[in-house]
Amino acid sequence: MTKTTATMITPDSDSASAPLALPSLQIRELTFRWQSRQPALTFPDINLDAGDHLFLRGASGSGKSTLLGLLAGLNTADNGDIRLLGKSIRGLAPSARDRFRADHIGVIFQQFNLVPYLTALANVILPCQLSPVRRDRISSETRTSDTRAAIHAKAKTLLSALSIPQELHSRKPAQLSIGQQQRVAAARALMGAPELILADEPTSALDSNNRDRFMQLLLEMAQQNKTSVVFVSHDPALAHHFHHQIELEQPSWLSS
Amino acid sequence: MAIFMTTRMTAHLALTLTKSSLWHRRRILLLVTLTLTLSVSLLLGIQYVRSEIRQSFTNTISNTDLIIGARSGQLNLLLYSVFHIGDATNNLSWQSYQALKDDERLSWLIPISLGDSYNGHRMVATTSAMFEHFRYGRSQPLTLQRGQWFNDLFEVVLGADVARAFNHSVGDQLIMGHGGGSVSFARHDSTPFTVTGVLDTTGTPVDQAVYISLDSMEAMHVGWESGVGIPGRTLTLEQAKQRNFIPSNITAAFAGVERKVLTFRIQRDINTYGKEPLTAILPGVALSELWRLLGQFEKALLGITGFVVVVCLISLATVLLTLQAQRSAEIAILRATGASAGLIASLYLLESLAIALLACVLALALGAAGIAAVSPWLQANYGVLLTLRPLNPDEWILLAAVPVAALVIGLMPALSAWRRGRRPGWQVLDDV
Repeated sequence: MTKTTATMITPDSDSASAPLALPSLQIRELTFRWQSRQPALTFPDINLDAGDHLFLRGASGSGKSTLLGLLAGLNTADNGDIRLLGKSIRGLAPSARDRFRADHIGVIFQQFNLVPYLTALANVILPCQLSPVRRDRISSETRTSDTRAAIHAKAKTLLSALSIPQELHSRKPAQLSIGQQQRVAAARALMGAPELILADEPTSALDSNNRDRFMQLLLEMAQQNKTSVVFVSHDPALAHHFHHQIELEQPSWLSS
Repeated sequence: MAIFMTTRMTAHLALTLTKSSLWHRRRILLLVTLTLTLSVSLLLGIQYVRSEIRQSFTNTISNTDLIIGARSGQLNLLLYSVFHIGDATNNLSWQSYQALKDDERLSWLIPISLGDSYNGHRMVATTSAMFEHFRYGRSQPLTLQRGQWFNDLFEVVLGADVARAFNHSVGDQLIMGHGGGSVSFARHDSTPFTVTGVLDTTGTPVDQAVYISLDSMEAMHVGWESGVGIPGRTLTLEQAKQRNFIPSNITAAFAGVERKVLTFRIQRDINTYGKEPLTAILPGVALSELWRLLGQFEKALLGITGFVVVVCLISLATVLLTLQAQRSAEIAILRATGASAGLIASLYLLESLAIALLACVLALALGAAGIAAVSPWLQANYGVLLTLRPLNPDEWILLAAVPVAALVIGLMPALSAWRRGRRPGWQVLDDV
């Protein structure tokens, strides 16, 4: 039996006190194996309050991306329980998991984040086309009857807030720099204020200036939306941005 | 209601994404579409032309019970007498023709004599029996659009296409060439012909021929015994009118039988005629032999086309599967944003369906343009009439098979996308 250890550090206890909403994320005794003959990956128990941000650190092979896949409902766990917003997603049918992901989760990948044939703006609008919940959230927020216009306005506001100049909004991803692409991806994840954003090393391809700017903008806007961010990286320099951090250890069968 | 709204939203999204995706990769997809278009037009074109040519051939002669010529194969006789393809191996003597004329079991007889030409168009020497008794298509007689049938020496009646091609009308003077071929080195300069009539379009080799009397044929060849016209020995119209011409032989004769049950007996009598080796054929039987001959060729052609289509569909599959590999990042994004496996699958199906439908429409346009372009040439050179007509049910089925096959091919990446959707990874980048 292999073991994955975790350390949970809570730098300031005030921010984690007295949650008003349901915890955004709860994990209990979670295990997963890619193939039946492989030993299982085990994950530490996690409890993340609404609006809190979590930094997941670990070497390659420690199961960071696997954990994100499990949280997004793209993989199914062998054992244990995942509760998102108080709802257990393990028992959900694949289509219900897709629905839940569309409604409540924003995702940012390491690279290749954008649909190549859609403009930056269309990429940001995509979640609203897949989820009526996220679309309604924007239209109720702006109190206008023209949902389409409201969504466009919101997407433009988000892009501008993430320092994407107006003239780049109608450009295809191939015409944007890597830093701009990642910020467009952040805007898409934030669109329609989902309760949870899963980010898989989104800054690994960015230089330090771009990286700090990206982190600052993402977390600032997540704060405004009361969105929790689960952020995976192997770069310890980013840890100070987060309320909590967990280190996943490489399983012994991989390191030996 | 909410579910209905969501379904409509998803369908709309699938269409929008497909449209943008197709447009984004338009260059490579255009090549795929063109390849598919060419093979579809090839398949459809061969099927179409096959049935048109069969129709055209069958329409060429009607109501003629027997064709009689010198001893030869029935196909040869059919081809040179009716289709003006190839040449007669031998002639039919005038005595034998007279004997046939005296046979009371034959209700009518049309003599034809071939040999010369007008600018590459066959010159057929015959009598007024041709105009009276010849039938084509569904028992249609020959009709004149202008003028009248010849009734004198050096008068000529033109097939519709000949008149159109050289812009001739009644009263024009024509110089006939000696022998076949489009360029004659020897010409019957001293015996010009006058156009007395122009026939209506028939869609048969009749349109490509010019018709003169047997007497004219004899008259124009006086002085040509050595193979070229010797000046001073050829006849003028006035000299010719003084003389009485009896042809020594003709090329073939079409015959109508009084009582159809006797047809086979008459055929046997002619084939065993003691004074001259003759052949009598039944046009229908000869045509079916022609089909048997062409049938093998047609089958080979269809087989080849089938292979072309299969190759094309395989290349379509290859391209779609390769494109899928390129799309895996995009699919991962869509999945992560909440797109269902069904939506992803529908993207693949819509893509291959769109390509197939576009190819079909292009193939129809290409086919129609091709037939319109080729048909005058075909008719001019081979007397085969190709008309633009709506597709028949067989051809619609062939055409419909293309998008169906494309859907089946689209199903392969769609199914694998769907299966991967059921056991997905986090970010699929290299898993095809």
